[in-house]
Amino acid sequence: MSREKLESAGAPPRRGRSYWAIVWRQFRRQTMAMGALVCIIGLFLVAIFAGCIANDRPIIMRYKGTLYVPAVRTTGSIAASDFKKIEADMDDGDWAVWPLVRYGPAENVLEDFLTPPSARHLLGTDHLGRDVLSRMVHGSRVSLSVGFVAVSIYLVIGVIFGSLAGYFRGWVDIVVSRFIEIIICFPSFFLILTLIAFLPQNIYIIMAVIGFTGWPGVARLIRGEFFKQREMEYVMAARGLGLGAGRIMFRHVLPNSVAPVLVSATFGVAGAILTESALSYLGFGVPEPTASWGRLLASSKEFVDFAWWLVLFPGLAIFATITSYNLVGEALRDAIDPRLRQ
Amino acid sequence: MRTYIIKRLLLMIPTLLGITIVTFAISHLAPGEVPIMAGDKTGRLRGRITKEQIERWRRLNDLDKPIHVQYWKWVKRLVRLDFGTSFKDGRPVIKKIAERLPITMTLSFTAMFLVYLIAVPLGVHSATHQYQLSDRISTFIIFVLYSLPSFWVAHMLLTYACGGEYLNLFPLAGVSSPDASEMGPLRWFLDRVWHLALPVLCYTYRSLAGLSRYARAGMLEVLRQDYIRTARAKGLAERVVIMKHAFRNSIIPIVTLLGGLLPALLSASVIVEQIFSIPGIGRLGFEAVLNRDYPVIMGFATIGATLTLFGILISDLLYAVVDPRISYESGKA
Repeated sequence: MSREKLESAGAPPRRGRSYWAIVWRQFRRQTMAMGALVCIIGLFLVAIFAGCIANDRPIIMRYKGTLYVPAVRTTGSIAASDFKKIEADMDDGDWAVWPLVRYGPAENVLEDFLTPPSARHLLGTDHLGRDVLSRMVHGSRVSLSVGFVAVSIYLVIGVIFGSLAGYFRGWVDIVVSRFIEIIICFPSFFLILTLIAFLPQNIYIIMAVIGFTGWPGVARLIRGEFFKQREMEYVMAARGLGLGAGRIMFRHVLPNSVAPVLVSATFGVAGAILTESALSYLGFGVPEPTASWGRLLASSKEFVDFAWWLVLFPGLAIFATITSYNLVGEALRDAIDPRLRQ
Repeated sequence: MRTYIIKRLLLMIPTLLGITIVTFAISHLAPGEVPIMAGDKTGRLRGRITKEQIERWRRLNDLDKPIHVQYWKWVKRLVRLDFGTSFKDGRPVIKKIAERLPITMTLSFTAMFLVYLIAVPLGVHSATHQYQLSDRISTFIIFVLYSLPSFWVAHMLLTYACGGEYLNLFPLAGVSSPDASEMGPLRWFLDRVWHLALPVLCYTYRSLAGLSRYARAGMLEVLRQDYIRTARAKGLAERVVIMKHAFRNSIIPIVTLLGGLLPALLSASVIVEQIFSIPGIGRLGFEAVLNRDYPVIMGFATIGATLTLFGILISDLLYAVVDPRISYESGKA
């Protein structure tokens, strides 16, 4: 007998694993999905530290005896100045740590416009002489935050409406179902496009609009789960104990119904990122000079016949992000499906 | 069945009302602004239009009345299928939509047909060869296709397959060659196919994923049933078991997906028609948004949503027709 077996034989019976521990164990087996999860985490790190990865100023520097962190804020004698000039003007004891990409997302390098990828600009430049790699690094902020916030908004709305309809049924269900039906019937992209076109153009409006049009799917899922759960004994027991409807709904039933919603939310993030980039591509996205992947693609429209780097790289970034989210969603769906459990 | 249909039809009334309210509310989000001014990005018109002209225009389009009066007037006209006239060229909205509908419908239905034609056999194959190499490969390819943004694919196809510096395989824009009217029927048809091949491709490839997944899951579900074991046990050929016994039952849930495809295709048409310069209703809708042509926007949204509502109803009813086990009499709606 191996040591492990002996140990487990002598040990008291192991406590049952929690539901999420089982799901996580199932999820971990899928190498592709784990890779995708790492990609997503990496992308979030890139988005958070965009200013330290691609910028026209040093991350941290000592200049004339004082320590500055220009990537965070510029004060004193270095405020609003050209850091390339400052670098030339440095004294003996001064030093600077530069980001990996030494161009800002909105920095125009006048002598380099529409240059193909080279050692100077790894992914080339656009029609205004801006470094594509730098713009892509900063553009990840738009895509990731829109995906995350928009889906959070519609999760909250969908969960509330879905729980109410599923728990109370009757006329509440009829009313909520009508709301769901109304939103589902509209061609969603056209609805979003119209709203974005009529409202002021900024990233928060885009998040809100995608959020407010995306909730019916979640609401339907939650409603269905509540239909199933509310007939179970534990709900009856909770009611027998005299718990209020709100407590039963959100403390007891919801945690048991949330797994499929998590799957649909993961796919939802991919969908929201896609919607945002399509909007930007059509010219309704985050306004200039903010960088976004869709806008980079859009800027290639006039130069399509030769500027392949403007088409290829932002598209690949969108594709990779969406694929990662979809892979994670797919694996999560399999992980929570007890029929597939090994 | 009859009570179910009546109930569903009655429940459609509040939904239809809701659709009109949402449409009306959206198109009044930017009040007070004259559409031609909003569409006037260059500012050319700003100096030329006088205050009186704007006032007269507002009176003409009822924009000076209180909002509920405007809504009521609009709904009253809607009932008579009068969607008003376009701000852009003064032509009736219903006419503009009607003349652009056929091309979008051609594209959508071709795409839908292709999606079913490819996805269902693929899903069935994946299910009968579960976890084998061919299942894994087809699942993977479909997965990659699903993650490809269609506007990017369209853009790339336009760049690399439609002239320019690269391949010149397909036409750059439009639905037919300039000399199409002089062609014989066969050449005309081929010319159409040549023009619409890429747009249809862009419509089709993303929807494959969802449908083939459903087909696969449905088939797997059916294959686990007892009667399949019985069919195998009595010595039927595997092909007969799959095609006659399993397949027919597994496609039932797929029928209901038809209704949901319509809004997705309409949404896709807004992007794809724009990129390939196809004069369909998607492009009409997009241009209306650009020009703030409210009557057209409202017409597009109302008609699109209403068609979808009926689409969902029809696919629900079809569901009951193809699967006699389902009965709607028990009051579950």
